[in-house]
This record gives sequence, structure tokens and C-alpha cells, in this order.
Amino acid sequence: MSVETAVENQSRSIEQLDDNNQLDNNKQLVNDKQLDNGKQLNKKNAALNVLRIVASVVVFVALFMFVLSKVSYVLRDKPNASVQDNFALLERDSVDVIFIGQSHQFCSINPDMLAGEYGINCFMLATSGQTVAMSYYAAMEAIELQHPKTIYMETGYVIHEWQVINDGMSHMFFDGMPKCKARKEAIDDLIEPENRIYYYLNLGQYHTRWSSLTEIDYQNYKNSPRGRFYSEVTVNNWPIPVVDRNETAPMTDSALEYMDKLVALCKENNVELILYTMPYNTLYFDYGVEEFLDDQRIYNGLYEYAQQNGLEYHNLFYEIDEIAFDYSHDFMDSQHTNCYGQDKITRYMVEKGYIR
Amino acid sequence: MFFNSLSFLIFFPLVVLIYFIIPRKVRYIWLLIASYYFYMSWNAKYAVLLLGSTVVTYLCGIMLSRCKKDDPKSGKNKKLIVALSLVINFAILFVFKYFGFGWSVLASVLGKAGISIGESPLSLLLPVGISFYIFQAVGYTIDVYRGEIEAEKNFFRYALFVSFFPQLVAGPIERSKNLLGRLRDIDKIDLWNINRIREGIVVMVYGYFLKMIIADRAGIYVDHIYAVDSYSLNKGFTVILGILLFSLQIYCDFAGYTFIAIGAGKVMGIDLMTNFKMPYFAVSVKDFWNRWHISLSSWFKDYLYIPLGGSRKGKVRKYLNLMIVFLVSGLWHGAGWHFIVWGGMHGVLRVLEEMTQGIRDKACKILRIDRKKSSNAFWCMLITFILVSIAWVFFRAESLRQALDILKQSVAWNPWVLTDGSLFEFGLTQWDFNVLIAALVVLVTVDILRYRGHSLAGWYSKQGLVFRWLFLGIAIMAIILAGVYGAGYNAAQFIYFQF
Repeated sequence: MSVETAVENQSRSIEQLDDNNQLDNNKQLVNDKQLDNGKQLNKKNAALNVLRIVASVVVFVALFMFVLSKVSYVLRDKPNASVQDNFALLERDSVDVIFIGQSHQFCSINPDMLAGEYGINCFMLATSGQTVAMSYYAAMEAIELQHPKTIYMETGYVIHEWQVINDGMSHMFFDGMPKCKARKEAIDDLIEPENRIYYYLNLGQYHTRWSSLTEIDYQNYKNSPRGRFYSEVTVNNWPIPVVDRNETAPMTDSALEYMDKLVALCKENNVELILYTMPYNTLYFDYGVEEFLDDQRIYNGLYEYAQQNGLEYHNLFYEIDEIAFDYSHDFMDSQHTNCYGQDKITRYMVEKGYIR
Repeated sequence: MFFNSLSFLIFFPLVVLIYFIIPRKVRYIWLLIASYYFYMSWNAKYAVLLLGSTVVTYLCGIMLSRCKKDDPKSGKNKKLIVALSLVINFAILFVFKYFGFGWSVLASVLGKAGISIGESPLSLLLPVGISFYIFQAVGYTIDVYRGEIEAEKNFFRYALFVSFFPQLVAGPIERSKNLLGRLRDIDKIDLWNINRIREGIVVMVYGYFLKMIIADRAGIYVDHIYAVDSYSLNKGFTVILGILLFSLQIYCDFAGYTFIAIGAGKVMGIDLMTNFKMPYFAVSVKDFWNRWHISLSSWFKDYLYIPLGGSRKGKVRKYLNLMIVFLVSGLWHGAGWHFIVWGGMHGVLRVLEEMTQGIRDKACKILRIDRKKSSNAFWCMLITFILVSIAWVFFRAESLRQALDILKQSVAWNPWVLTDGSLFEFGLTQWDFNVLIAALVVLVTVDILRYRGHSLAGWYSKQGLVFRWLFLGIAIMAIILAGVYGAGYNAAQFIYFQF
């Protein structure tokens, strides 16, 4: 074999080798491409899988929370908590007068009458067991959402140290309360840290009610749009004993602390604050007459407090005769007036110019 | 942080979410941080004990792995290292769990001799789950000593093995071969597996059902029956119902916890061992212990019963070994005589079962009793359940005296209490009993299906999409509505936490 032939053969074999390499390379490329495609497909599948899981969870949680909110509403103790529900429905800055305080307030004042007969655009934000501390936050809520011209506070609870009475009373106050700054501040201040969660997720309090639900629980319960309390129940009451007007005593420390805060809040927001104490009888709770008179001495002490703070205060224990209660007709129990007594007091308050 | 607390319902999804999206290599670090946070939410100080036990067993594992196999000296060294690990760990356990009890026993003995040593100088709160993680860590040392597993070199991975939060405070007491092995491959787990996640969630929900609907509800009645200041007023069927409800409570409480733990592990791709296999379907006490708290009974078998000689050294020795294991098991459950008596009762029952095996076989032959018949199995189950329930009285009671009183008071004829409304005076309403009965039907159905080899999670996975989501939604809603929790109710502690 000549050198040329040898070189030619070698070059051929090299070419062949190159061809083979090329073939291998091509195969490799195809394989790589397939692998890449496979990987990309896997990645795509994996991404789709993740998306599927996340989407399923999100949809499930959203639907579940929706159903849960409906179930929570059914389980809630609505008749007692509906005042706040109605308040939440009000258009912002649409009310001029707000009433705060405890049951003596909503049993004594008829906001529907005030609006209908006297043209006073008002709302009854008093709730059962609303302590002075809670009234302070009710005022804060009212100012935040309605900014009324006047707030009328019934001061029956200045005799107590309580900031909250019990879970039930607190839930009546908080459950329907619109989501606002005042609500959060009130919960942080008045509720024990370990129980706060039940005011944001109130099922913790009400979930056991499922075994005692009635028809009303399934309805979209709304009572008076102005928060009126109405009861026709009538009992025989006893004439109310009244202490001498000059006998006074200071209110409790807790009540004083929150009254001071309330006065400052109203001044700061240029809202007129008017105080009054509604008359009631105490025999209902088997409470001694002497203790009852002690309580009245504290109400008398409010004259001085009001004067010091430039507030208007009316102690209606001393106007019982003028109101002219019919003890066999105007009360639903010894402490609270029924709808007849409520109308009587409401008219009296307007005629005297206390509510205007 | 209890599993049935809101904190856990926030904690767990957050931990899982982050665990799913972080790089694979750091998964175990994240779970370790989460586990220590979980443990420290009870009492941050006691994390020192957890860490101490972890460090000791980790170092012992490393030292054991460095002992040469052929060196005659190394055998002795290895034994010394194991002894060191055992002594330190059991010393921690003794000081924090048994010192007070030991002191009171010593004071009582010395008191009889006229010597007064006064009150215990230590007043320590029992660290949550201490018996569980100490046993798990000690088990690891023995496994490394026996060469059943290689010592873990990565301290953080090992720390996670001891502290893995789903099973940290109430088990299952995991074996190093299973859990550590799984944690070594944690970066290879395909987390986004919808079937596994789904099964994990269903198992968790079932655990919550057992705990919150059954155990905590039954617990209300049981607490009234065992109330220290008023238990002597209860008699007959009122007490018998309390005894039976405690059997139900402790099973649903502990199994519920375990299901939540296993489900949580499953969601994260980490399988934990089965701890309960329908224990009240057991046909003997031996069978009961093969089904109840399996991780503990197998721990005692592997690390105590077999080293003691098991059944290899004759019948008498076997009976003795059984008694030792059950007495120690009683002590493990609590520092009190009533726990020891409870363990002792199971020991005696086991020994009697062994001793009468031959007689019972002969009796069956003579009376032509077919043991394979389900009616026979039913009677065996019933007798076992009654015996186990009687033993639970000693477990639940505050003292031996109270346990004996409760048993004595249960012997009275007053069946009218079952129908005259008297039972509703013990914290449960008619509705509560209705819920309890309905839930019991679910429990028994699930247990029968499991007994026949089916699994709840497997069954659930096979269902259609709409049914699956609906089932899950309804189950969670049922727990929210019928579960025992909320304001005015202190989330009942899982009974097994204090052991």
C-alpha cells in the first residue's frame, strides 16, 4: 500500500469515525433534547401539580370559611346582640344622638318615639350589662363611625367596679360590633388575653348552641333599626325608696377611671355628653334597702363630678313623682320599665328638655 | 401548644407551608426550629432537658461508633458508654418525675421508724413528654450499641429525631431505624404528593374527632365521677358508666393524639409507626398489649423484656420478667402507687394467662369450644375489655384508696338511674349523650373496618373529588360544632402528656 493510499484510507476511516461521532453526537443531542423535553415536561407537570394543590386548598378554605360564617351567624345569640348588628347597618355619620349605658337606658328610652314624634335622629347603643368601661368604648365606637352631636349616658353602673360582668354580657356587646378601631381597643383592654380569640371567632362561645336553636336563629334577625328594646311584660312593683339628696358617696375607682376617659374623649371630639340616672327598685335581687340607698348616695355624688367637668346631670330618682309611675302597669320587673314606662319616661325627658 | 389549641391550628399550616417551599437541604433544620418552638411554647426552660438528653445520647452514639469492632477492650468501653447514656437519661427522668414520689415513700418508711425528713426539697413541674423523648433517645443509644443503626453524625438531624414535634410530647416513641432513617432521606421526599397530603389530613381530622368529640365529652362525666370531694356520693350504674366512659376516654384521647401526630407526619412525608390497633377488640391481655400503645410495649419488649432473658430462661423466670416489665410500665405511666398497682394488675393477668394456657386449651377441647368462631372471640373480647376497664380505675383514680372505693361503690343495684334522668346531673346533657352514642357508632365502624384490613385514609382516597371535599368539610364542621372546646372550657390536657 502506497503512502497515499494509506493516508487516504486513514482519512476515510477518520471521516467514518467523524461520521460515527457525528451520529453519536446527533443521537446524544436527540437524547439530550428528549431528556430536556422530559425534564421540562416533568417540571411542567410538577408545577401543575403544585398549582392544583394550592388552588384546591384555597377554594376549599374560601368555601369553608363562607359556610362557617353563615353557621356562626345562626349559632349566635342574636336577639341579645342585635343592637350592635343594627348599629353596623347605619350609614356613616348619619345619626345625631347616641344613647349608651346598660339595661336601664334601653328600657327607659324609646328611640323610635324620639325620631318619629320629636324628630331626634338617634340610636340606642346601650346593651345589657354595659359597664362604664364598656360605655367608654361604645362612645368611642359611636364617635368613630357616626360622630354624633350628643351622647346620652345612663350612669347606673358607676356603683360597680366591674369592667366586664361575664362572657355572655361581653359577647352581647362585642359580637355584632362593627369591625373598627374601638372594637379592637376594647377587646385588648377588657378581655383576658386567653379569651380574646373568642371575640374574633365567637364560635368558641356559641358552638354548643346547636342543640337549642329555635326558628328565630335561622332568620336574619333584626329588631328596631334604631335599637329599641320593647317589652309588654307587666309586673306589680313597689314604690321606690329614695335617699336624702344631700347624702353623697364617690363612685368606684374603675368607674371613675373610665368616666374620666369618656369625658376626655367627648371633649376631644367636640361631642356633648349628658349624664342621667334612671330610677329603679332593687328588691328584685334580694338586695337590702340600706345597700340600695348606699348606691343612690353614689348617684348623688355625680352632681359634683358633673359640675367639676362642666357636664349636665339628672338624677331621676328625685323626679319619680313628676314622671308619675304607675307601679302596677309601668314595670316589667322591679328594675326595668316596660314599653309603657319607657314611653312615659321618654316623653318626660323630652318635655323637660333633658333630651333635645 | 396542644394539638386542639388554636395556636397549633395556626402553627402547623405555617410550618408545613414553609417546609414545602424551602430548599430540600434545609428542611430538617426548619423542622428542628419548629419542633423546639413547639416544645418551648409549654415551658421554655425545659427545652434545656430536651437538649441535654439529645447531646448526651448524640455523643454516646458518636463514641460507640468509634469503638473498634475487633478490639477486646472496645466491648467493655461500649458497655460503659451505654451505661453512661442510660444513667444520665434516667437520672434526668428520676429527678423530674420520680423524686417527689421517692421522697414521700422514703419519708413514710422512715416515719414508721420515728425519723422525720419533712417535705421534698425539690418541687418541680413535670416537663411535658419527658418520658417519651428520654425513652426514644435511650432506644437510639441501644440501637447503635447493638449495631442496628449507624450513629448519626449530623447533630441537628439527630436533634430533630429526638424532638420531631408531632410525636414529641405523647409519642409514638419512634425507633431510630424508622424515624432517623426517614429523616436521613428527608431531602428526597416528594412533598407535593396530593394523595399523601390528603390521607394525612383525613387521619388528622379523625384524630381530632376522637379527641374533641368523644374523649373530652366522656371526660366531663368521668371527672364528676372521680371528683375527689364528691365521688363517695355516687353508686352502682352511675359509677359503672363512669368506669366504662373512662375506658373510652383514654382510648380516644391517646389514639386521637396519635392519629393527629401520624397524620401531621404524613402531610410532611414522614411516616410514624402505628401505635394503636383496635385495642378493645383484643381477645386477651397479651393481645391487648399488642394493640395498645404499641410503641411503648414494643420498646419494653426490645429493651427490657428480652435483655432480662424473655422466655428463654424457663417459665418461672418468664413470669418474673413479665411482672418486672409491667411494674416498670406502671411506673413509667406515673409516679404513684396506683400506677404501679395498675401495671401490676396487667402483669398478674398476663402471668395467669400464661399459667392457665394449658388448662384453657384442654377445657376448650372437652367442651368442644371452637376458638375460631366469632361468638367465642366476642366473649373473649368482652372479658378482656371488662378486665382492662377495672384496671383503668387504678390508673384514673387519684390514689389507691379512691380506686378501691370506686370499685366498691360500683357494686350497687340501681338500674333506674339509667332512665330517670339522674345521669344528666354529671355534666352531660341528653344531647351530649346522643352525640356520644353517634360518635361511638362511627368509632366502632372505623375500628371494625380497620380490623378487617381496610384503612380510613385509603378508603377516602378512592372516593370521587366532590365527595372527598364534601366529606372533609362536613367532618371539620362536625368537630367545630360538636367538639368540646371554647370559652369557659380549658382545653383538656391530653392525658398522656404527663407521663
